Amino acid sequence: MNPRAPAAEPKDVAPRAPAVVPASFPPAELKATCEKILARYPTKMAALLPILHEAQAFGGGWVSPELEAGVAAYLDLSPAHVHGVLTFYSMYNTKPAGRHELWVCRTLSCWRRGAPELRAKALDKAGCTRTGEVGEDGRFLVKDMECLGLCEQAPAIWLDGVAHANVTPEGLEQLMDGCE
Amino acid sequence: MSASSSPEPVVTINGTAYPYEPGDTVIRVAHRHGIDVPHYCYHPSMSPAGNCRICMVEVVGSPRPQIACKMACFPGLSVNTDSDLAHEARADTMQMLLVNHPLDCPICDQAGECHLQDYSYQLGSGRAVTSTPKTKLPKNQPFGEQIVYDAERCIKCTLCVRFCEEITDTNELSMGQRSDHEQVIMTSAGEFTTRYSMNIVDLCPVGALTSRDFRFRSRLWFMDFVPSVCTGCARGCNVTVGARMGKVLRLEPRENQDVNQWWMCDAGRLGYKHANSATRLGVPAVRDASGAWREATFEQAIQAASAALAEHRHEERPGHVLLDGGATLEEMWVARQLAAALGGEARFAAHVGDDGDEFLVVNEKGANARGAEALGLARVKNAADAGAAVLVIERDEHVPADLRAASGAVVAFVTDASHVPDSVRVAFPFGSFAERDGWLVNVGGRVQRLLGTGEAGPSAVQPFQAVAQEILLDLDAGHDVLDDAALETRLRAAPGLADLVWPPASREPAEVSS
Ligand code: SF4
Ligand code: SF4
Ligand code: FES
Ligand code: FES
Repeated sequence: MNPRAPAAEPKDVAPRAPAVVPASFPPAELKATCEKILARYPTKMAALLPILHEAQAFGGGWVSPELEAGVAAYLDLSPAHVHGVLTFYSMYNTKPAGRHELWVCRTLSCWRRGAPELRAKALDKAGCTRTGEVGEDGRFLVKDMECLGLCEQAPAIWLDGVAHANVTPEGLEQLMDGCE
Repeated sequence: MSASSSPEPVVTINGTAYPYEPGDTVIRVAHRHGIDVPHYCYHPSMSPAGNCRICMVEVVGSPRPQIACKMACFPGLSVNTDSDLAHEARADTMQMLLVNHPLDCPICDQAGECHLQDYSYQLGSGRAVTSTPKTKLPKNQPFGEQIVYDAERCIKCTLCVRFCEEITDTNELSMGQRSDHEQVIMTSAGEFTTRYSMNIVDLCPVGALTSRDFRFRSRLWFMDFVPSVCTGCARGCNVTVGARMGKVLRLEPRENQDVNQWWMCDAGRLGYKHANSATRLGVPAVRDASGAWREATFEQAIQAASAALAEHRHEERPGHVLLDGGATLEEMWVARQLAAALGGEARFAAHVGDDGDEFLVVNEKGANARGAEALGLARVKNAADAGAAVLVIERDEHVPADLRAASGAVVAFVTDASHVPDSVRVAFPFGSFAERDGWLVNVGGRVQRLLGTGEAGPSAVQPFQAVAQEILLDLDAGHDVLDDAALETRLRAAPGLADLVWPPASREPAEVSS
């Protein structure tokens, strides 16, 4: 009957990231566009993709956690759902982007016709070791992308939203040199 | 439409016709009739997702197998769950599911109750057919405080996501990324707002979601499991208690559509810690002349208790027995007799919270408060009414320190030694919910069976009913000693109790399923 001190419960709860404060969305300059988009769809959820594109353009090429939460609140969606959609599509960025965005196709036709060399060249010129990263000078974000729909003119790339086909490493070098 | 000539529409499964209701899927009809159809992503409470493909069955007359969880029944439909085609389809599905699965069963908590493991033994070849390295994904991701996620083990069935969407409507989870990088993601806040989050650990068909409380504590096959009820509040969710070597290790919900469906709350699930307290009273103890505690045998302690109570009765102090609101009907019944012999009455005390919700949790925390009221026991709410000769306490919150101190009791039955007030001269160990057998009445008037396991708590604890009746014999030689079966017969017929919803008479636990 000599009560021993109770053994302490093990505490190995991992530290957690603080909750983000949602950005107020849409900002004044996007209000009209967003409302137009909403009007096109039967439900708010259906408007998620185009709204995220707007948010990304507004955010300087990426969707920050705050912006993401703002979009979720705007469309009455759970932040988890929005994050799921955002990470499903490779066209959205969840990390700060570079001044230019370069996509290299990694699907079969391009891969068979020289995409690996283009990819290596792009990474080298951008000064990064892997795709999805921005080089130190902040110039390029290089990304792997699934088929760009230009298989008959493989290999293909997209640079800042413009498609280029039949690209050679030299051609790519020139294109990249033309970017500030 | 040949079968439509019968009055009720039927589907044929493995050659036998079974009736179905409009909207039924093949898997529902099969399960209703005890036909096994393997499934991972299907759960009867949620919309079918149809993404795991393990439930494929052969559709007679069609070259392609179909998923049973999404296939609606129609007249004339005939399926085979056990044919070569069905087996082949399943084996192929298993191959896909295992392409990136780590198969780390030796260190996985799910091992032993994992269907991925079962079917991979049944259907797998034991050799990988791919030579590419397995995808690396995050492991040990915290989902809230209590859950740990391993994305490599996850088979992306989305049950956990759908639970948070369809059952709790709190939407903390979603699927992120895609293809072989697909994984469950959580809101950036990383916390569950639902208080039912840990149900996803049970739902997860594999070991991708584990409970921080239980993980790595024990292999399942070393544990003893009993069907019982949660005593965290008066809802009385049906549970399976798992224990090993004197410790309760896990509570999991057990299906009962009338009480808790398939679920339980997180607080109830983790509300077993007092049963494992380091200060559990394991043997009877008696104060000697100097007031110091001495261990005693049950015989010695019963003698000492009878003497102390006879003296107490002689001094004409309150002869009440104050019970914990989680005591069983049997215990309350015997307590009432004991109190009568002491010139008092049986009373109870139980905590009332303010956190009840629309789902399961109710404010009344006394798991048998409803039973106590049905037996006519008065409720003690404050120290002024707490006067008693005998205390029976499992949980601190029901009979808190101020009531205990004010009782002036001389005999106490306690789960925890630290709950013995100074006035007590004889203390008996009292089993926790995981060690006692008996009936409890839940908030809806349903009588449910609390079942103990010998693997929990200190060994050789005698039930309160037995000890109290021994004391009664000492105090009042005319008393008839009743065993639990005789007590049950009396309880079932007792005024106030006879009208409640009793399970069929048997010594089996109430409404066991799954
Ligand atoms: S964690 Fe479990 S329940 Fe959730 S999707 Fe993965 S396998 Fe399914
Ligand atoms: S709702 Fe009540 S009975 Fe059900 S698990 Fe929670 S505490 Fe236990
Ligand atoms: S494969 Fe590269 S554009 Fe189609
Ligand atoms: S159970 Fe039918 S597809 Fe998963």
